[in-house]
Amino acid sequence: MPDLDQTTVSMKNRGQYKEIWRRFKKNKGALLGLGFIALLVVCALLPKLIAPYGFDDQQLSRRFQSPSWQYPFGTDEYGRDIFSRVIYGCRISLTLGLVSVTISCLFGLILGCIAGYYGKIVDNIIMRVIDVMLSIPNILLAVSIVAALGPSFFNLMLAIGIGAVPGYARVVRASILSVKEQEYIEAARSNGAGDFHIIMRHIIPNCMAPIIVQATMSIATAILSAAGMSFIGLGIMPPTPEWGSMLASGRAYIRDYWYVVTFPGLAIMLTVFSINLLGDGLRDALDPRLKS
Amino acid sequence: MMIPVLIGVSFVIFSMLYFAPGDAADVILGDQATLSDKQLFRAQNGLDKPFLVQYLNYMKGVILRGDLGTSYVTRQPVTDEIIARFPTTLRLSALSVALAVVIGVSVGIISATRQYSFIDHFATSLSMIGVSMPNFWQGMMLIIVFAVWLRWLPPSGFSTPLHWILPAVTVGTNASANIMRMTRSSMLEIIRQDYIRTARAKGQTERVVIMKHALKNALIPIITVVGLSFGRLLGGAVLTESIFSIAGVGKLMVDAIKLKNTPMVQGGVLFIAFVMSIVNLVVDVLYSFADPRIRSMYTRPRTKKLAALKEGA
Amino acid sequence: MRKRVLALALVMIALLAVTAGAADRKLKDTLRVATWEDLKTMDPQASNFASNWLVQLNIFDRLVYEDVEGDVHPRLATSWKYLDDLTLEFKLRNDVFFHDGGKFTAEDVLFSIKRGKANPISASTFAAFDADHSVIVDPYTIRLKFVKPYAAVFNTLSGGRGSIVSKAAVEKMGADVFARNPVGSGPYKLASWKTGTEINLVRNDKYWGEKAITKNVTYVVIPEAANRVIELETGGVDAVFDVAANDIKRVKSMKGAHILMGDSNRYMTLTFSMKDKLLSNKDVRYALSYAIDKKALVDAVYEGTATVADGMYPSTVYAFKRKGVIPFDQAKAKELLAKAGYPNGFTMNFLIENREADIRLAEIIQNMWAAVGVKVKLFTMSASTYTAQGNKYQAGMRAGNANEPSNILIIYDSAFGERLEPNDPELDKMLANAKTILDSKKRAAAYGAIQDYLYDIRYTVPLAFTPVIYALSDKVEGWTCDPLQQIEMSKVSVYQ
Repeated sequence: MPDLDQTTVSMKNRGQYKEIWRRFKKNKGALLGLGFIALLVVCALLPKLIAPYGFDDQQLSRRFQSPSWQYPFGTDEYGRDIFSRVIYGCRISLTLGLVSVTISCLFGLILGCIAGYYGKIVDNIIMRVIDVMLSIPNILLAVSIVAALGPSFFNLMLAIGIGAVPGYARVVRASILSVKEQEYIEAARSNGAGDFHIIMRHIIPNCMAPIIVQATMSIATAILSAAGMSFIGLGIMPPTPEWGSMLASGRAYIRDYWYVVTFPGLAIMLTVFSINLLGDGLRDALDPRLKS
Repeated sequence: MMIPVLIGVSFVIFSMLYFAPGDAADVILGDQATLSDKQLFRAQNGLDKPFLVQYLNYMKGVILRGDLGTSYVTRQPVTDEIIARFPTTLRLSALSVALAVVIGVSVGIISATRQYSFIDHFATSLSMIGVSMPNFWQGMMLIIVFAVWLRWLPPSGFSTPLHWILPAVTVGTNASANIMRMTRSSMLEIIRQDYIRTARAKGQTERVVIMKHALKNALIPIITVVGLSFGRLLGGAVLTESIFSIAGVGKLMVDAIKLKNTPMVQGGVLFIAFVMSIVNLVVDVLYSFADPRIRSMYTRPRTKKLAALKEGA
Repeated sequence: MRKRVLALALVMIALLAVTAGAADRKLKDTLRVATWEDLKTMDPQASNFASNWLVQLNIFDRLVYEDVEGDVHPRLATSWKYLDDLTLEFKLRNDVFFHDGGKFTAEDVLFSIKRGKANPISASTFAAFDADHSVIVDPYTIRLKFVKPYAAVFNTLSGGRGSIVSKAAVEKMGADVFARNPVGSGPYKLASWKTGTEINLVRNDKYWGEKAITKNVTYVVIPEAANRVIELETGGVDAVFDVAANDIKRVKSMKGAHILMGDSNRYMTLTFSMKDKLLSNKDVRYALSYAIDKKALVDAVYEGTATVADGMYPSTVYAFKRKGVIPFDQAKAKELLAKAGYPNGFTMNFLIENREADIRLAEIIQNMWAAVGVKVKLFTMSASTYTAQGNKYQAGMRAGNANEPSNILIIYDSAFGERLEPNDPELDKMLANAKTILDSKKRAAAYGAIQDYLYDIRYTVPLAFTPVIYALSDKVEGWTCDPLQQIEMSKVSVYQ
């Protein structure tokens, strides 16, 4: 991904926000992505209004019904309405994405800041730790963490979040390195500003752009990772309607009842696709240099 | 540089598994064994010694004898088990990366040279879709279409070249999306450079301009992404290995983690970390071929400069 | 006269045609079979899983063979007699050679039993054997001694852990190498083993008994149920172990393949922890058992292939007593819960194995119990991880699979611990006693009484008797529908 280390857009300038939004609006794909995500958020916040059934209304006599007016996506192996489950699943997936990204962001920010700002030995140590983390394949790291802590919703988010920390740390660190020697930092320091103050008020706002882009992309990755974990069997416990576990449990029926697997799969795909469109749009809008 | 990282990896994994609740004795002996049977098993496998003793014994074995421990389940050396399966995973990764590079780079170049054309938009959308699709879902779909409906390809296993096609396509298309995007954006940047205009003005054919001048300079970020992809694939082909019933390292790891087969997990992760370090090394060497600036690094104190260049890339 | 010659000629032509047709039925020299998981080891006394035994039984021999009726047939042992209640003398064959050429003697029998006792994995199986006082009378006669009268002795000696290994080979190689390079006396030898992928057996031409029909047998490891059936469809394998219920229809509609389904010794049961305050209350257990619509449950999960459990263990096991299906009665369940002091229900942990059928059963039960106010939290993990994370056993589910009552009832033993922990001294006494009764009628009565007791006390709620299901190509012959998936490959043939 082309980096934005050199971006020195100061977000404090309101005129800049308008400019960014204008550029963003020009990207039709990004708007589409944003629109779809807004739809998902609505589904996440108000599932009861949209879903005709509950997510665990089993009707053993109505198993594997084909998609119909009554059951738009058909019913699954317990007779539950798949459409309703997909709607309830929005909340799970979005929560998953947001919380794990927040965790990565937080830890990544802290590590990257310390490494970038203080440099030298501290930097070296932290970079080695990051190298260690990068040497362990993401999915194995996540699986190990979940196996160690026990499968629960929070542990899953934690495991996925920790796996993404190196990415953030590196981005933050690179941003800091590029900004550290700038004049206004010197000026602030000569004014007697403390380290913490400098970090909070000057440095972090300047890394926001790359972090925001990284974050949007990570939400997508987090959702895919969670689906993968459910597939292996270390994901979320039933009867929670997480899209990935719907894929995993529907796998055995894929040849006879294609809809059990197709609709959750489409949900994942469209969500991730929209997030990617949004992320690309954000990146282009925040760094006009790439579009020239 | 490699050594501290590998030690770090071993320590992290060892600790995670040590402090993780649950015990190999229960899992492996099953629930038809009595308490005393389990105590015997623990004693036989050194599971009752304190943490540091266990860790140091383990590291001694690794460093002195290349002995990654003995699997609790099969009682065979972990090293043997991994080496038996590694060629399979390596082959899958190599094929996938090769496929990804071929597709990604060529489509990326076409996209870049015909920016905003139909092909560009089509390729970009396709790659976005490819990245958004859960790759185990893609694998399942491919099996249904090519193995069951059309009967062109076998549905599982990895023994003959025919068997290699579907898994490699499943993993490769995912990676190719990233490579394509990187190639495209990298090429776009280069193409706007002045020296490209010069080359064109000199009367060079478009083909030479692109291949000789532009591509060579765009290589560094591409190589980075390829290197990263390969590393990711090595451990991450887990899901694909499950779908296609391929006996590779990834699946071995996941099964071992579920069974609390600690030596296998430790050994496996260490092994994969080792291989990934080697891949990084190869990537570094490739950099020096691709970029004469880096090559010149090898004649002076290069560590800091190389690192700086890499960070900047 | 001419007519007769003509008739004869016609008959000859007909015969030729038929035999020519039959001659076209050539045997294939390799049988390919799909199994669901790789072997962990080839060492019979270190084995724990059915996936191990179904291959090992072709490589090793056992002293006797106990069939589904309970009749005992000679194998490596030619005859046997009880000298007294604690001593059983076997006469052994003197014409058996191991795969490495060594001769089979009583030494190997004693050695196998001793190592079984010493290995923590199989020690409990040999608990009743007194190896130290067993005597080798001569190379082909052995007197086995027991600690207590042991009714299930033939079952044990006929089972996987009773396989006879070559003493010389094990001592020379060491157990760990032996686990990869088994030396037995069976109709097949191990030719090669690509871990995780396939196991190749080759015929033992020096076998003491009937030589195997098919020269090579390859077990292909395919963990995904759907993939196994796909391989059968595409001709990659000739037979499949363990077919998922939802694939049955497909196999039946396949041209050239069919389903072989029969009773098995396998059953699924709910278990309640007696240590738990909630569940040690009999009314609560009864309520939970009434809240499940067992017929709907079994139909939904097994697509009609399994039967609802109407006894405390599978009907194929010795001395089975039909107790009837526990009725589905939601109102009664709610009433009993209120009586026990939980009118608004409660929350409970439910521990299951991470297997498809288990998860499906559990999800439906979770839903059914929710209808009477009991909220269930599902855990799919190994028991050890579960307890290590500080969780207490409450409800669980397990699959039992044994063809002998003392084995299938082992979960009720106080010494067995975990999950159930009935700590019921009366039950312990009944179980221990039943193991020692050698008279068949008395033994059946004892087990009948035990089943009555268990049905009443309801520590467990058996759910389903699951069948054993194989999928075979029509070109395969000689495949018996063995309830324990122990198929003797030496009797199986496959045609072109």
